[in-house]
Amino acid sequence: MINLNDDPRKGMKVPPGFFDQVEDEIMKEISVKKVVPLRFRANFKLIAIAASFIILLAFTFLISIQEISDQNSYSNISEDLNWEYVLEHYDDITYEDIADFEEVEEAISTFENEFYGGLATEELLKDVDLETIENLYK
Amino acid sequence: MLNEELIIKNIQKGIDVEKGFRMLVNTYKEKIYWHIRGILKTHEDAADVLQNTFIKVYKNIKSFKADSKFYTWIYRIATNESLNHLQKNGKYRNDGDVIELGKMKADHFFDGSEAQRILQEALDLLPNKQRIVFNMKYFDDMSYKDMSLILGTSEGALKASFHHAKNKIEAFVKQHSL
Repeated sequence: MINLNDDPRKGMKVPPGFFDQVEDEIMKEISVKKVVPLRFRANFKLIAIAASFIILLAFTFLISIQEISDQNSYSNISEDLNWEYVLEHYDDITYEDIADFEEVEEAISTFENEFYGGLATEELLKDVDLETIENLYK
Repeated sequence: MLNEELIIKNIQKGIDVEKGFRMLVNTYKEKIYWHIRGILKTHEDAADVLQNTFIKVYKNIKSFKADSKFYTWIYRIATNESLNHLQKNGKYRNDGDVIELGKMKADHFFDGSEAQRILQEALDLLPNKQRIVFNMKYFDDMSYKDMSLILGTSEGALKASFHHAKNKIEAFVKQHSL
């Protein structure tokens, strides 16, 4: 019947050197296409979600650091700059923020003295007879 | 030299991927080429499909499970790629389709003996799947079990296919032999 040596496929010709070249051609084609292995592609979504989450966390952390930095910056700068800072951030700044700033303490103290001093003067005026005052200028 | 199983495991882990894959290509390029050539006939088509087969193997090698044989897996990819190629080019032949005889005589890539030419013409008369089954069983000496894994067909159906193919070929050879 049919002889195994008669495999008709073996009667088909192949261009000379084909099997030597085809290996390089396949490897070249693979590197050109930059084929992404399946498992990496399957995990890509998971990696992307994780990366987004990390970026979000980092962003939140940076904002909070920035806020802390703004709060702490007051005590780390010179008195002149402190004044500028107080003037620029008068809405945001708290009493605790400026507690260690002596000049402000002094200013507050002076203001308090003047304010209460004024009140005291007002109290005095109540006791003063208006006629006596009018006579002073006559 | 590393054995095939270890090479595949290393590729799956991302170790020496290019070197390992080159070794696999080197091992299988000729066997797979002749398997494809038996289905597609022309060298140009076979060369294209061979390349596509290895690209597909590379893309999907991480999904290959070690509990099956690598060679049955690669043969299955090559077979599917070849049949898809035939369908894309309108050359897929079912049982009963009329074919053009004597084409091999004109093929400048065929220089086999007269016996090989007659046999090839007999094979050309077969529907694609019967021809694949015949080549794999008769010339490649594959087991029905492996063929079943490659072609996704039951062993019983393969035995029946082979039986029909063999009878048709014998009849053709008797008729055309000198």
